[in-house]
Amino acid sequence: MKKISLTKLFFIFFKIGAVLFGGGYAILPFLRSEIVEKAQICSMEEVTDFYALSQCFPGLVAGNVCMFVGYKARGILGALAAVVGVCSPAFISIVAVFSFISVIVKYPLVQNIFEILDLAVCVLIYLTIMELWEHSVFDKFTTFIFITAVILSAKFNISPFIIVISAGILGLLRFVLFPKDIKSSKKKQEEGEKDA
Amino acid sequence: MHNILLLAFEYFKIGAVAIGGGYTVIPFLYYLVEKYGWFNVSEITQMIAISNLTPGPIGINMATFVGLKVGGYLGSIFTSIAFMVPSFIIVCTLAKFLKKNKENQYIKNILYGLRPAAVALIAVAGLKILNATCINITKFQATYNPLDLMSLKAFIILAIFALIGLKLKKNPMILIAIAIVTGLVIRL
Repeated sequence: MKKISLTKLFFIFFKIGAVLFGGGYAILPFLRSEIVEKAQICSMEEVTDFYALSQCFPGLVAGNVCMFVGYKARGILGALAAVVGVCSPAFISIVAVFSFISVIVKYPLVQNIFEILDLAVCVLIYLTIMELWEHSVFDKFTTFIFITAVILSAKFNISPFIIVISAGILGLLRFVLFPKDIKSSKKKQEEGEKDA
Repeated sequence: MHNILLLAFEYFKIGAVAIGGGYTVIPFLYYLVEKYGWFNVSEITQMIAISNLTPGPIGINMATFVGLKVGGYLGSIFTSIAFMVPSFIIVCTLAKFLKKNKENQYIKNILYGLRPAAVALIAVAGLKILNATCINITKFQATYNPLDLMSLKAFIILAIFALIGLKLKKNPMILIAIAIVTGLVIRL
């Protein structure tokens, strides 16, 4: 991991904040390209962990993820640079459009752009999932968690907070109750880490 | 000034309890309307729409909007900062703890269980967008015509975006730019 300056950290996150449309999940593809690949602050696995944890704690998911990454890079000041960076475009854009806001929203063209942006975000999300897949869902246990979580969230609208916490507890329980099973799957996990 | 501080304090509280991102703030906005009457319910709808159309985290978009409404520029700055302070403290504490206990087997196994759940939640987020843009179940239920189930135009654009996305894996920002241009030219 390279040491990165606070100014650079701020600008990386500012850039991410400026192209971020939609909820917190939309940030993942940009973290992959800017943080994991270009700046090499952390691995995609760590980003997944940060994302999962961000869902369980108060605050904006996107904001929390950025603070985690910023902290990883430069401690508390890094977290500050990251969160100010990612939030600034949101702040500036609202200040900029505030006075003529009621006109903009009614424009069909603007609505149309937004709908097409949704499609692009959707594509980016699934590309990210493809990357996350091999390090997150790789054995029976993780497949089980994945399928259960999809059903609970999509079908029953269970809060992500509950899903993530229970998944964490299950992971812990499995370790405590069946320590023997873990060895085989851990090997795979480590192999996966090496590939990355 | 009194209003600004009051709003900042309210937003600090929201920031400390709203788990799960920007949209969880919305119920609190209705509460603010009832308690203080700083803005009205139709303005909340407008806020949500505009927050979706502007870049950046939706929660900050809304906090800035509310701040501007109640206390001008100063109000917007105070509100946004107050909103982020609780999570900043929490995340820094947690990140410090994780850094110290990186090799801890318990933490490792908690994360091992967390990861597939996180991926599942992301997948569901993607499904919800697809559902809103490409699939029209209500129309299908009314007509039972399979052609009504899916917006063909949206689906074709999605497929083209997917191809571009696979090619430009390293640069998701370009896809966002392409999408904005497409939105200017093609009516969905």
